Amino acid sequence: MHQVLIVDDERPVQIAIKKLGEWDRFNIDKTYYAENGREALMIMNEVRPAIVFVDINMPIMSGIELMKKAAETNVNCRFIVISGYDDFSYAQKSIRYGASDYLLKPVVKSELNAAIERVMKDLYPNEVFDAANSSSDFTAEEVAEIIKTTIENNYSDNIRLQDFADKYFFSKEYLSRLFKSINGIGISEYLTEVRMKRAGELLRQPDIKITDIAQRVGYPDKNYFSKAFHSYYNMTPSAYRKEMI
Amino acid sequence: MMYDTAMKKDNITIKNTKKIIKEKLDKTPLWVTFIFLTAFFLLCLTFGLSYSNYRWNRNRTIRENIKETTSLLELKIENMEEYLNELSDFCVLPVRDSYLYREILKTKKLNVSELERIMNTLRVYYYTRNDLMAYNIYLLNQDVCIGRNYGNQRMKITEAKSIRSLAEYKSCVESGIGSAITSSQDNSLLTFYHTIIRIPDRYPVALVKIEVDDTALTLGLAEKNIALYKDGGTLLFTNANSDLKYGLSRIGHIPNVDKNNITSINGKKYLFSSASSEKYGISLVAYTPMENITDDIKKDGRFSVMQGLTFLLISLIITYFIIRFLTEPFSILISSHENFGENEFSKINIGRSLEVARLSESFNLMSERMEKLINENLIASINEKSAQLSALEAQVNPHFLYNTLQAIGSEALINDQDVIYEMITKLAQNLRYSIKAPNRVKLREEMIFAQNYIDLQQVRMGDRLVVEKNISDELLDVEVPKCCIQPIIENSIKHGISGERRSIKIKLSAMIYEGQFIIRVSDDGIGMSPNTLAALRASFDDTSFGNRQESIGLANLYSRLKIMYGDDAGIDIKSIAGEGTTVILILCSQEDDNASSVNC
Repeated sequence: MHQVLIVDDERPVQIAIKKLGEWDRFNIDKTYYAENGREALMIMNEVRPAIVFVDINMPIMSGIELMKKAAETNVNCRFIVISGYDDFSYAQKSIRYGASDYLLKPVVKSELNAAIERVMKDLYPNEVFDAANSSSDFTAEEVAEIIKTTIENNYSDNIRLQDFADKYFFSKEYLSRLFKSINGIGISEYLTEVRMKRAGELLRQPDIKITDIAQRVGYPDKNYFSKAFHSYYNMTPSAYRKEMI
Repeated sequence: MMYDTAMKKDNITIKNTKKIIKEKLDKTPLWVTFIFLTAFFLLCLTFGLSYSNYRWNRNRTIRENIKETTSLLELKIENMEEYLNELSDFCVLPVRDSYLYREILKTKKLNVSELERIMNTLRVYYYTRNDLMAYNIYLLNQDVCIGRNYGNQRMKITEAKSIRSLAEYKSCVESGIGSAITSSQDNSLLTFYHTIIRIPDRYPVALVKIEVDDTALTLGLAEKNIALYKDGGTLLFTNANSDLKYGLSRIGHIPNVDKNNITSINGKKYLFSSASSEKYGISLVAYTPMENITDDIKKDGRFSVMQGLTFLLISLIITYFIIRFLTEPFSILISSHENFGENEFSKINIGRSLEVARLSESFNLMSERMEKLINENLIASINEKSAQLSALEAQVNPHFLYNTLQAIGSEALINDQDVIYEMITKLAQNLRYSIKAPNRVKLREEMIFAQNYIDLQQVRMGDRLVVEKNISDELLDVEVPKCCIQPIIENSIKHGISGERRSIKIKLSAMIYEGQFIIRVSDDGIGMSPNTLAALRASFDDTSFGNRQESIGLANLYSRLKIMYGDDAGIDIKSIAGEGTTVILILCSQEDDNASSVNC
């Protein structure tokens, strides 16, 4: 299995490459990200990605410089340049410094995968790269399911939707809408529900302190937990305990 | 009425003739007409001059000949007069001889011996002259003739009665000079009669008749044909050759002479000169064969014609070279005019005459002006369009544009809107293509552009837009102008849907037909009225540099086609209101085996 590195200071390009690439097909299982050339070089030294996607225009170190430096330190990988300029001189320069291909923004899915295919076939001529199934990423529905599972299993952690959005390259608005439409309940509401239910269970065991219960269901602050509990059950936690016993 | 019709017919014929002449002239090179007319003119001149020269020469020669001959004749006739005077003297010589005279005077009959004595005395006379051919003396009182005729060896005494009734005797008596002249037999010049008179009363007592040869006359006249005539017309003598002689004798008297002093004898023409002796009543005529004169004149004439023709030929040849030299620049001028404006506005440098030099100058001036005008207009137009384009590009910094499109697209991706992302990439591709694509692209690339456009439109229109494509793969490598298909599809959608019509079906096909590459876009939209169609077709030929925006698309495409592929290319539009429109692009012919090359 192989890795790729996406070097671009603009998030949209990272999103586009990540979501459009048919990684499964090319036996690529990990995508790394760097915001600039220096980060990129560090990752390249450790990981040795097969392909590095690089934007020409980046702060600190331009794409050209990165390629030059990579050549110096003899890092063996292929560069695919992404650029907003369709200027011939940029393309020429890129090719001179070792780029295998030059793609224009906005990235076109077919062109991206054709470029990846060319490079991979060149690097690994013995591997087979024509698997029909090219969906490697999680669909939005799958991510919603993951969120649900995570809430159910890791309710004590600080679960943030943004993390999922970032990890799986979906907008949090979209994930939130989707989750609600699938499960009939919003993410934070569900999280609260799961937590409160567990809190209720724990409150039935009289020897656990309320402060600990708060922590165990994911509220570091006891007062905040009490407030949330009162919103949900309409009574304080102690009152609830009193009730159940 | 008939007269009018006839007049009209004549007028028409004249007009037709003029027209025909003009047409023929227009097709003939200048030098040909010039040489031809000059040759014709000079030829006429040459012949005219030669002929008038000939006639003048002839007349002059004739006059001179006549003058010369007449002088000669006059001299000769003077000589003849003197000669005849001398003959007269000779005839009356017996008077000097007192014996003879006495005997002649005697009225009594003389006997034989007396006559013989006279004869012997006379014999002496006979031998005193070399020119005597016959000598006879008629003694009137004796009725006797003593003498010797030509051919006879001896003098004879013969009887001679009634001499006084002899015509010649009467002539002698009647003439003031006592002599008479008559013609004689062939060999002699003339027969001269002279009376010998009795001095006191002048009564004639003897008649001398002598025949003389022609030496007196012909000496010094060897080559000329002369004839001696007695006044009254009798031919006395001629030294002419047989033909002329025969003719003259047949005529007998002086022939008729025309005002040019030419007479015709026996079919031949002769120049007539004469001189007369009034005293003796004789005329000396010279017949100069016209041949002799005219031969020389004709020779002269021929020579002058040959000379004239030679000079004519030489001058024509020289003129030919001169005129060719002078008109040669015309061909350059003509070809400059014919090729004017075809690609370059090259200058010409010709001359050889004031007119051509000036034409050359004015042509160059015109060329300059035209080039300047076109450049100004063309360049102005190009500059304007470039400026527009630059402004467009500048307003929308491509870097910003494409990065923003990427950002929009990625936002769509994370919202699971792959379709939106597709739309954005297609839009971006088309934007790039419109600005950056070269003038000639492969059909494959143009089809991507057109298909992107169709896809974008289909997102808006859904199944209201149906596009059928029928283009075989091997045609995809053919070169076509950029933006040749998409604008037509755009037009179909824009103009084909209106009012009641909400949807449209467009069929797109390409083929090679009769050596030309054809692209066909037909729709079933609302079509165009014949007027609109005609106006649209007319807008194609409007090459003014400020097209209005509405028709700019097709008219612009039309111009680009013509510029790129020449006159064979074009756009054909058919439309029926309510049924649809078909636009056919005719591109230049392709080579069958290599569809990627353009055979233009």
